[in-house]
Amino acid sequence: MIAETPSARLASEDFGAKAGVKPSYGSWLFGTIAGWGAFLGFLLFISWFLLALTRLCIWVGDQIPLDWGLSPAIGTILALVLVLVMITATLLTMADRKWSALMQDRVGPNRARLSIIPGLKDRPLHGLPHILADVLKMLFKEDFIPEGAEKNKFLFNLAPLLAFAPAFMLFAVVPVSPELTFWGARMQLQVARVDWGILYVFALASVAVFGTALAGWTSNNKLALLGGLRASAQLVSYEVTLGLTLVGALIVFGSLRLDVMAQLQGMTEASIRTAAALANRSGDFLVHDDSVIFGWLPSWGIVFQPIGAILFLVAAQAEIKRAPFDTPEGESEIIGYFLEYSGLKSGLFLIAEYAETVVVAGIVTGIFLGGYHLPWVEPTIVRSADQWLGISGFSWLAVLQVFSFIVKMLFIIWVMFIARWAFPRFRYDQIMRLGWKMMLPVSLANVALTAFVYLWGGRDGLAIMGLLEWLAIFSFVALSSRPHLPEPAHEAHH
Amino acid sequence: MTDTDQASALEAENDPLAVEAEIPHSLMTMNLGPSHPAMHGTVRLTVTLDGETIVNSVPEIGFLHRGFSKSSENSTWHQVLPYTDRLNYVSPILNNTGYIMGVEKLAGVKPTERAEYLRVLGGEISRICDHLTCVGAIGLELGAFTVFLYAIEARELLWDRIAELCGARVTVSWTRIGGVATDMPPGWEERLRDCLPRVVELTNEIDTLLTRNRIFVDRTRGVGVIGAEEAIDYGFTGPCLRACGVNYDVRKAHPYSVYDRMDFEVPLGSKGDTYDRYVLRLEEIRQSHRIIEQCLQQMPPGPIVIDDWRYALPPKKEVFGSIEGVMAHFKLIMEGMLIPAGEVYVYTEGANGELGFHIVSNGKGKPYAIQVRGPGLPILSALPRLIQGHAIADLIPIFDSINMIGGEVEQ
Amino acid sequence: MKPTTDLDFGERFYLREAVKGMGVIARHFWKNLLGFRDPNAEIMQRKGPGVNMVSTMNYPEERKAYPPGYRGMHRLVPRIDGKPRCVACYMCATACPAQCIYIEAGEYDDQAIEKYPVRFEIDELRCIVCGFCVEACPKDAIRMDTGTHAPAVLSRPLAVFDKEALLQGPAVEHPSDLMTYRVPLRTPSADPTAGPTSRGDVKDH
Repeated sequence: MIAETPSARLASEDFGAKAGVKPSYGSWLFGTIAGWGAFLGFLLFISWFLLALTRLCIWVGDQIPLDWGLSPAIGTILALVLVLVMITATLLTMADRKWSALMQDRVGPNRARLSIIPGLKDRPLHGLPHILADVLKMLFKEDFIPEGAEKNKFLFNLAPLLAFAPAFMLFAVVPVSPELTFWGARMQLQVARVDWGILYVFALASVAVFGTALAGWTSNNKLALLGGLRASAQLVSYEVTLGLTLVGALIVFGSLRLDVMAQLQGMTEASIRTAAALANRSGDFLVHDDSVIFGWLPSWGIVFQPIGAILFLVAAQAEIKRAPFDTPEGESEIIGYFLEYSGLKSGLFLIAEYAETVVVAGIVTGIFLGGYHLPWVEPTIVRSADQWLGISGFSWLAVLQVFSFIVKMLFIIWVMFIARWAFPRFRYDQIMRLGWKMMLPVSLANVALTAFVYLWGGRDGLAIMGLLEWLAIFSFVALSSRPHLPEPAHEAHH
Repeated sequence: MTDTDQASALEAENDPLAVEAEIPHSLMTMNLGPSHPAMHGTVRLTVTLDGETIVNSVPEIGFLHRGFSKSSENSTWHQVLPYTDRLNYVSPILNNTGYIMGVEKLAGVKPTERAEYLRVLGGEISRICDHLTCVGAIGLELGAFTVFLYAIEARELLWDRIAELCGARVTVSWTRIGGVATDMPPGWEERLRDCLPRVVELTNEIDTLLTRNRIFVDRTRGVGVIGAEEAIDYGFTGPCLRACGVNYDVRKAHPYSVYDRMDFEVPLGSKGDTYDRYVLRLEEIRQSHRIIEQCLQQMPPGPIVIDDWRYALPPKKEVFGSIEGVMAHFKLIMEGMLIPAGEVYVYTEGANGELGFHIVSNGKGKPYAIQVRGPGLPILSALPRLIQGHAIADLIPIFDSINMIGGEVEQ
Repeated sequence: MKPTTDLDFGERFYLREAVKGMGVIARHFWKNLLGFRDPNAEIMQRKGPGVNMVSTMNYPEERKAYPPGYRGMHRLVPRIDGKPRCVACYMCATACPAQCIYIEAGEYDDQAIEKYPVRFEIDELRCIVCGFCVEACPKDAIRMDTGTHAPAVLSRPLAVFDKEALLQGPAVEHPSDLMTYRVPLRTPSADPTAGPTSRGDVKDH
């Protein structure tokens, strides 16, 4: 209702100060615990759901008389690419904003409301409706093609697809669970168990550059062109480092297959079974995990390859153009290679970036963070949870393993986001210098050192080298020559 | 590129022996701004690029021109104050003080002791706000968004205090001839002392995030270098000049107000690059904090405005209750303060440098002429020189570090 | 004094400062994630167990009151009989740098005060909220102590506030008013300045 006269208008406005209600300490404590519980429960449910969805597809495949053997693949594609990656990427669009808000002492977006649902009329729901609002916004925006891009319309339209598709295809080789028996069927949450797993990652990562370069060039915009140029140079350069940092891991695990790499970082199913059976006989509660090194250290990739892991994370951050390597976007200099895109095409570029984040986190988890393995406790879980609710211990373990994979992945994503909000952007030539003159020699040295140590001392030698490297890194970070900042001198005059 | 160029280039390309054949290339001209994220909304840069290297650039100002000088000639002496608010709109109290000091010099009056301290106090809070804005903007446009929001969080605390002190956050119009408009409200000092440590803490966090981070240092070190000689020739003042190692701070060189009683240091740079300008501003925030503490400590009680009815409005008690008061009040409002004829140039240390007011009075109630020496204009005029030969990505930190404020550059 | 500007050996390797910077951000993140936001409008008072560092407000739902001296929306101060204190002397209109006040004077026939504004209009779109009108008023008849800002309007004419819209808030009476009234409205009360204070207020009466 619009008031007619100024005075009525003034009266209709409520300018009074209103304060929200401060929650009590107890309700906050309860809310925090309940919230974390709900979050972990949700992750557990998703873990179970991924397994169940794949199993369902296998079951459906069994009902169809044609035996093409495609049902596990279709099931894992559904479960991993469409559910895990897509949903994580979608949630990340929101998480990016909410997490950055937390880092920056803000509340974050919370204005969207689901007003059509009666009970949710005035509930911000912590900003979750923004995901829907963003999707709808991008869907219904005008798909505008600038005049300059008309003559290359096909390439112009192709670019977002070329940026979007590889991000999702990459996840095909990431193992989310070991090969396991779930409701009576052998299956594994990995789309493609191929001998050329890592090579596939490198190959598809290179395809993404076409999308960016094409987008920059076909937009027929000077700023976008600069973005495209920067992107193509940067992506091509960092592929070298990206590949070399993984060579160390290849030496450690002796395989190009990501599922083998993940498997080698923990116990196999057979050894868990043996260990659990042995423990059953002797009556121990805690069952020894024989995959650990020196009896206590999980044999994760990050233990053998600390430098490789850090360099890989940095190179991957550059490869997916996330800050501080976001020069192709560089929103304060050149607005970015996707400057001329609108609507859902622009959205594809944005969601591709988040999907790539998920994939990189998945690969890092699979190679360096022990994949789906839980250190120390796997046989104990199998033994103590066996036949609980009539379900075998291995099924419980499978759910927990997928859960642990997701948690590790989220942690890596979180680290990448922290880095994204903490650092200023590199300059284009400095990215090149970092890539070619610092990271490339260091990763080459890492390869040589790893190979040498492996020949000299085998896996244990590598573990000792890794521990020494960690020690060096920690002491390097902790020992700062710069004095602490002065404390504010404000108490003196009170 | 002409056709003959192209033909010769193609010819060279086809010649197998011509290894050194020139790759055909041409320069690209690009408009940055006036609506460009890094141009602060009000300036246009036409840059000529060779690849990503800036060959030439032409800044174009005037998008925020308001006709300050002409408008001032049609206002009474006090009515100019709101115009000065809008010169450097991030630190308006400093502009208010600079202008009113000129008028006081013409009139030959001296503000009260307490008013002097209040002006310095408010001015240093404003200086912190200005430097925080600049430092935050450098962070923001280099991609470190968090730095910007920490700076804004700190600035917001101070602007709240300014709102309590002056009655408005930005457009304060706070000074008066012979004093200031409002005194510190009760409890204000405690609130200020409360929020200053938080400001310092956030400044230290910005320091941790940027100052020793090599990414940031690489982006700013050796970028936009200008030597002391050249900077003086261009007319640099303030942090940009001190970054070149020239020890010139009006507060120290020609102490005005009560700055001679304050114990503070003037940080100096050595290289005159973007990094030095950034570090200087951070350090000046700390020095301003020291000055504020000393102001609060030394603040004498007393009136906040002189009791001289020729220039200052009579107290309301007299206006309401006595015929003399209401007559003086009426004359001052209707005619304006009759400032004696004369010409004066007054310079103070604004947040970005020497803020000069050249004021001419012909003895009437309105100024005859006012010109402002905004510190931003000479510095902006050196921008093409600063960015020449640098990459387009370097334009951003350079442009931020000179802290162009449209209001004072374009007046 | 000169700030040190050279990076030492360790800082040249990115990693140390990267970890430090990420540490700062992560500290904010976890503190804000695990705590709750105190909706207290005064940000410095957001303290206590479990309170995080978030320093923003959810604006339309939560609002901060303007500080007491804040120059807000104008009001014409009423006398105790409800008529405006304004005597249409044009001082505020003269002092206004933005020329946003329009006054038409009229005369009372048999009232205590001879002159009054027939029309008193303030164009709040032109107003620059400098407060000079409040300072200029010799009758304490206009104040900016409403604690609100000028409301948003949907068309320009709606931003012109007339006398009826501006005349609001508690009445004010000063002892010196007696001299200007032909017929006293009433004997002055014990606390004549009760009510909102502003820059134009008289504290020492």
